[in-house]
Amino acid sequence: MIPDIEVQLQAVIKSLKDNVLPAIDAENALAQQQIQLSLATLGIALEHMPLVHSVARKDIESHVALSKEILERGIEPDSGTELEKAVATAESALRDPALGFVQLQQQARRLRAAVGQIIAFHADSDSAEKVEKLVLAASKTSLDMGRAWNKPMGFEPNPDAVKELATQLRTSQ
Amino acid sequence: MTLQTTDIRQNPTPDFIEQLRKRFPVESEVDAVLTRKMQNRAARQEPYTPVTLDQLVEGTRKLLNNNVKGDFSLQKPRWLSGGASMLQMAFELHWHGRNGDEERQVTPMVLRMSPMEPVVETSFLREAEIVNLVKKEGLMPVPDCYWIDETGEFLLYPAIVYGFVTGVAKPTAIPSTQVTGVGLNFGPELREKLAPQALQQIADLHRYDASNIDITGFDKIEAGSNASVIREINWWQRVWEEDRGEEEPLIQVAANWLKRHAPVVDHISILHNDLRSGNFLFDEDKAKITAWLDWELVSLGDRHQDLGWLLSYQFGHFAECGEVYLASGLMPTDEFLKAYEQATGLPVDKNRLQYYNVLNTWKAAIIVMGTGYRVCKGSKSHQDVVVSWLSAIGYLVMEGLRNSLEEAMA
Repeated sequence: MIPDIEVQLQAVIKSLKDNVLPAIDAENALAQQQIQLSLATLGIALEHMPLVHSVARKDIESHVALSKEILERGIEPDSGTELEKAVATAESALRDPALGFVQLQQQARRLRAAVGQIIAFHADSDSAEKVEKLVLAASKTSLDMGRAWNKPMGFEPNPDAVKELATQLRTSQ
Repeated sequence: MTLQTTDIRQNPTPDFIEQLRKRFPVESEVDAVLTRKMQNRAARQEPYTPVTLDQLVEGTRKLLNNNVKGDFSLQKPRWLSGGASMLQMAFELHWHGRNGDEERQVTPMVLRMSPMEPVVETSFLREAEIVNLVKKEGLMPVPDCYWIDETGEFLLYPAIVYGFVTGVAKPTAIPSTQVTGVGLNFGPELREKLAPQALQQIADLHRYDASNIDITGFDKIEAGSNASVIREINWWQRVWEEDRGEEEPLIQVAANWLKRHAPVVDHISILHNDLRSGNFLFDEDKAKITAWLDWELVSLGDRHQDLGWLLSYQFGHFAECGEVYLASGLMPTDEFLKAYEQATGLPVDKNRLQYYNVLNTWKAAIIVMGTGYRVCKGSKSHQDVVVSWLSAIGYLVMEGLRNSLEEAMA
């Protein structure tokens, strides 16, 4: 569809770089820092755009897997409640290719919230350690993806050790 | 399926605010600050708009009118670049001293004002009280702390006025790059002179018995109990619940573990809570520390909390030989701890260091992934693009948290 959002962003970046950046007062440290970060953020967003749906879907998948483990091990305090419902709607969302990013994000957030409630509910129960270890093990996938997503920002001390997003997404398919 | 959902954290109701207050009991002043944050968020749906230097000057003048006796004038105002949190203005105050009965004098000062929502919402009252106490007791060099606008009555938002301190946070000439690691590198000559001073000053701060402090910003705290640790956990868990954009189950797991294993505090210390190289200024010619800065997170509690942060990996680097790791760019970790024990007369417990390493990493994750997100979501600061950029470190911090927890739970 025209206008193409990728082309629009590309044009904005070029405009900022070619015409706005040189016009900014070199003595204005705040403005200088912010234009550089803005340009870099836009560039990264442009690069990530084709992957947003896949990333949201993988986030849902990994939380569905964790939720099912919790349910299968009978850790859920009252079957038929929020976690089961969240899993059911999340799986339905995964089957629907028409869903947009925001809708997928909502599903992932509902699942995350339901898992969080279970952990809080079991804080002082005998199941606490069991559920916490499950979460600890399962969180690796989600954190790896988050680190890959944010790798271009330059905070990783050893960036080569963090698998690229595309590779991680391929692995999960 | 609908696209719109109400974000209760962006539009908090009185009931939501009250529920969180009940679920997470904290110190009175912390409660006041966090409650005000949420009430302000509910009342101010508009984004932050840039503040001019003239507005800051006008607000500062009102604050001084309310606090300074005798005539005064505020001159040479100018912006100071700061971190991701505060707006800073340097100025000269021409005045007759606090009581208005001294010779006319010129004092260089710095105003630090919070934006509409900062990345850490803290109490200027607590900060001022502790900085003044540290100064009075001669525990470590700190700037003169003059006045606070606790609620933003005079300025647009809460603010604090400090005396200007000379010095640099890092060497102006870049020392040898024959080191690895991200921490601040002073170079061998400066390091040798600054490290013993930093250690002694940290020891003096922590050795001081803070259990008898009677100042309004802090609840009473006693050694021999873990109640203060639980309150600290409640504080940050409440911040997470107030600010987060989405649940991170690992944050909840860490909160559970921290509460179950909260250690008893054996000696009540003043905790800076961001104690590290980069947060003190020094005179380059004299190689002398001139002031410790950034006291906004100050609390009372277990010295291991500060030590764990100071010794954490991200603030250190390897020395020029490539083999010795220098904690906070100052000295080897074991050497530091041994000297610290000698200087304080207090033991260092490796288990508590491990515990506070988890606590500190968990807090850092909450700040960058919870509050960092919320500030940008509401467009609430002058540095949203910086805060958003810094939030990107969140998953790396969370991986550190996962590793620490795995180790601790093994």
